Amino acid sequence: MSFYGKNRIPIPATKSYVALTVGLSLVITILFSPWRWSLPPFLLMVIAFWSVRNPHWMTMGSAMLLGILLDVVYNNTVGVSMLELLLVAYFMGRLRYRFEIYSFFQQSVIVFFIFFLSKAPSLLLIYLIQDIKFSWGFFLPSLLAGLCWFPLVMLMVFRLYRPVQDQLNTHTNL
Amino acid sequence: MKISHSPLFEKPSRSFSRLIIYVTVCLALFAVDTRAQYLNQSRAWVKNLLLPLETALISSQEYLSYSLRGLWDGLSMQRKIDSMHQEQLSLSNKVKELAVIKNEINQLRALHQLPARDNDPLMTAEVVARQYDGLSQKVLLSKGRNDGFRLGMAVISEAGLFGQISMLFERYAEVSQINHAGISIPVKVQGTTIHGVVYGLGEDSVEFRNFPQRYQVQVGDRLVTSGLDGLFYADIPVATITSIKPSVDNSGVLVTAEPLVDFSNTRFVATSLTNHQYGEWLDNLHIEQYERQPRKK
Repeated sequence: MSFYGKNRIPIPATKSYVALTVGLSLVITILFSPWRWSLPPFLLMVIAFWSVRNPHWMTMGSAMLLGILLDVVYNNTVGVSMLELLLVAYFMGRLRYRFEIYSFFQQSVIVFFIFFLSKAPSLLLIYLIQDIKFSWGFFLPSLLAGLCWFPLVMLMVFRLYRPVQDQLNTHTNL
Repeated sequence: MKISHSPLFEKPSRSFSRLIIYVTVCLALFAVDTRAQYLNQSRAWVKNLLLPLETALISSQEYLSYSLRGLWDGLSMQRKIDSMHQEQLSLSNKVKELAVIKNEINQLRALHQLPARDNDPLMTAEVVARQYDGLSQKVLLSKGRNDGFRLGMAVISEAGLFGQISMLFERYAEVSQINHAGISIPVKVQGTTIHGVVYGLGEDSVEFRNFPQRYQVQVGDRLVTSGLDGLFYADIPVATITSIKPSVDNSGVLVTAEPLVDFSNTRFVATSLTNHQYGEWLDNLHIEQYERQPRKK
C-alpha cells in the first residue's frame, strides 16, 4: 500500500535504519520508564512494525534479546517482557502478508488485539511471583499502541519512500 | 476419487516450532531467575552496561523537566504579578474613593453637630512580670505610654475585668489587679438593678459592699461593671459571689466574691475597648453565657 501517493515509491530499509529506530525506541523506553503504564510501548511497536516490514532482520531471536534488555530496564524478572516481545514478533510475522493490505483502522485494531494477547501471558507470569491485583489499566498501553499505530507508521516509513523521479534517474544512470 | 493436497502449496510451519522453543527458553529463564536467582549476576552485568545510558538519559530528562518547570513558574509568576498589579490599582482607586467618602461623612457630621465616631483601637499587651508579695497584686505589661496606654485605663482579659493601669512607663505599664488592696470598682449584680462597689482586699477574693441591704443577693450571682464611674465600660464581668455572711456588728452582710479572671494564668490582656467592641470580642471568644439563678425562698 502506498503511504505517500503515486509520486513516491517504497525502497527497502537498510540495517542501519532498523538499528537506529530500535535504538531510539529503546532510549525513549528508558526515558519514560516511570510512566510506562500510561504510555504506548514504543519498543514493542517498533518491533511489530519491523516484524511486518522486514521480518528477516527483526526475528523472534532479536525480539528475545531486546526483551532481556527491557526486563533489565524495567527491573522485571527475566522472561516477562521477553515473552511479550516474542509473541508480538511471532504474531506480526505470521500476519505480515495480510497486514500490509489492511486499512490503517484495521491495522490499529489488529495491533491492539495482538498486544493485548501478548500482554496476558506476561501478566500471568508476574501474577505467579508477585501479589498483584488485576486492573484493566495493565492493558492501557495496548490500547494506546493501537491508537498511535498510524502516526508511528507514517513517521517510520517517511524515509522509506522516495520520489519516482529520483528512482527513474537512478535507473537512467545505471 | 481422492484428492490429495499438492505439496507445492504446503509450507511447513517452522516459525511455530521456533516459537515453542523460544517460549520454553523464556519460561526456563523465568524459572531460573525466580527460583534459583542464578541470573542476578548477569542482570547486574547488563544493568551496569546500560547504566551510563540510563543515567545520561534520566539526568537530561530531569534537567529538561526542571528547565520547563522553571520556565512555567516564571511565566505563572509574571502572570500573578500582573494580576496583583491590576488588583492593587483597583484597590488604590477604592481607597481614594473611601477617603473621599470619609471626608464627606466628617463634613456631614460637623454640619449636623454629631459626635465624632469612637475609633478606639483594640490594644493588646502581654503580661511580662507578676508581683505577688502578699501586699500587692500587680502585673507588668509589655506596652506603655508610647503604645497609647493611659493611666487609669481598664484592663480586660478574655474572662473579664483584670484590673486598672496604676503606673505608667514609656514602654511598660503596671496594672493593679481587681483584688489588689485599695482598688474599688462600681459594679452591679448582672440581670438586676442592684448596684454596689467591689473592693480589693489584697487576697484572692474581693468584697462586695455599698449595696442596698433591702435587696437580697445570693451565692452564684455574677457581678459586672456598672459603668457609673465613666472609667470602666458597663457589663464587663468582674466576679462571682461565693459567700454571704452576717457582718461582725450585725449591721448587714459581708459579701465575698471571687474574680472571674485567673490572674496567675492570664498571659494576654487588652484595654481601651468600647462596649460594642468588647461585646463582639466576647462573642468571638464563645464564653459561657451567664444566667442568674432563681432566688431561694
